[in-house]
Amino acid sequence: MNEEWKSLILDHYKHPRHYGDMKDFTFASEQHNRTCGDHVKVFATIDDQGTATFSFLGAGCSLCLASASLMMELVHSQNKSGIEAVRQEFQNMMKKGASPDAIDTWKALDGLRQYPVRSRCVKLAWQALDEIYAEWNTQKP
Amino acid sequence: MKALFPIFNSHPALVYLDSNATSQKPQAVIEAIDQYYRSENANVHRGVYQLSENATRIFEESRLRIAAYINAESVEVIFTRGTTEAINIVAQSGGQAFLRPGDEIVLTVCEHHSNIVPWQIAAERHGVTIKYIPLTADRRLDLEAARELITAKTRMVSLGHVSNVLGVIHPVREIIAMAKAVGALTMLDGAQGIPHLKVDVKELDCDFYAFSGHKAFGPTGIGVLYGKKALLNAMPPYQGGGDMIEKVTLQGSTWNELPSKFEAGTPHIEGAIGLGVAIDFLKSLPLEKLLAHDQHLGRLLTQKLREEFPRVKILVEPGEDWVGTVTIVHENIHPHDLAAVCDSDNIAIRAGHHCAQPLMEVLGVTSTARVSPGLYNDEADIERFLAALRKAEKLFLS
Ligand SMILES: Cc1ncc(COP(=O)(O)O)c(C=O)c1O
Repeated sequence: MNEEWKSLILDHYKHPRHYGDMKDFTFASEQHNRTCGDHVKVFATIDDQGTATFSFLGAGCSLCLASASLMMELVHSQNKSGIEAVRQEFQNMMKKGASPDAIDTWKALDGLRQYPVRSRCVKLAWQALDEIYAEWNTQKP
Repeated sequence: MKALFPIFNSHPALVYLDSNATSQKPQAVIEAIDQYYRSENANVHRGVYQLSENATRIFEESRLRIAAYINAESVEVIFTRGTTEAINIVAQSGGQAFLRPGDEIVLTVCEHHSNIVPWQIAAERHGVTIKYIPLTADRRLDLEAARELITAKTRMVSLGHVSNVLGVIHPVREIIAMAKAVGALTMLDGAQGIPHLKVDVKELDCDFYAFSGHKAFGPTGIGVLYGKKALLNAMPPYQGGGDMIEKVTLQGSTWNELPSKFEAGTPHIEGAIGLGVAIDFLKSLPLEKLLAHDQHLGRLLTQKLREEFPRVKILVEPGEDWVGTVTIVHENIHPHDLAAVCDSDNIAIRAGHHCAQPLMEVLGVTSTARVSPGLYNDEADIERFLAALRKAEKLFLS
């Protein structure tokens, strides 16, 4: 992996963004990776304007927690359609890699793709996001 | 020793410290498989032509050599896909033959999933309860507790010969004696036993013994179930198909004799041949000296970890009853991350729960990193691992 992204990932692992508990959240989803015991819990609070505030808690390897922290940067303060776009982009990125003009956050996530055996670590927080998004969608407007 | 293993020609810098997961393969085993496909390939037990007769002969000779090595009769050596399938045969077919509602099965908390799950399935099917022998504080089987758990209700006692996570050689003779005293059947999961110990099933006096070829220098996809003839004869077949039948009519079928009764379908011919050669290789080795070698490397690593890495928790105390496996947890570095740093330096170690989730729970961890040395390792490999650990600490603790 490119040294620049590697250090960004380590930085996110050591100093995870939006890390912490959330009281009175609207949605929360906890995901476990049974193969190593890693777990991530993502919280979201939706305000009256439909904007989401995120945080997460978890214990896991650097890939797992860095991926969660990078995700936070991408989804925090987004509305529903913004989050849908991020989810789509993540799917695309996992398949084809980040586009050359993508922001650093995506390039760092792209760096995580080179560990296919650990793709479950990388996807853990994103699975929580999927669940939150699905729940949000079933709610009456 | 390294020179006998071609993988180190392909990867000269490789430090392979994951022998408990699978061993590397000696040249002789690779050649035997190659030779079989180049000049001996035909189906076995079928053709009346020379090529097939020859394939049958070398396939069956392999069984004879394996049987002689473990001191069994050749009809008592069933070829399976590995340890997992061997245990499933005993849990399913043996379960049908021997387990009755109210019976108890005794296992230990340190079993591999393959020596737990098949019994859980059988227990549910036959209304049987499972009990687990716990560990003492020094991570050895608690024999006092075993004496209380193995009772007149016990119908089957199954345990690992050697633990894949802790590397501890279990006191199987004592436990088998306890089982015999109450008339229970005994099974040993020998996946980690065969690579390190000279196994004599008569001397062990177990009823069943299972092992995988791939952990003992042989190919993947082949293993052995040893079972006492009378017991195997009392068990119904495991799978139906070709080879395992004596006569088939549209109304029903009768079963072939041992070992064919438990070997439905075209077998893993080259696997069995490769396993025969792996057993020859094992036979040629000074196993006691190699055990001492692995113990030495494990001790050396344990000692160095204690001296230099206070943040590393070592989960097993070295001893004479141990094959040199060192399982650790780092206070600040996740096992996956440690293994990834090792990998970037060409060092293969295992990280995870090692298919022993109940044991992880007993040890109070979710996953660990495991260093399991083998005959191709030396002190320099241990130093390389320690250097990688230093690098990981620098990366993650700074
Ligand atoms: C103690 C033990 N039992 C059983 C197994 C399962 O062996 P296999 O996967 O070859 O069937 C293993 C392999 O990891 C093992 O270490």
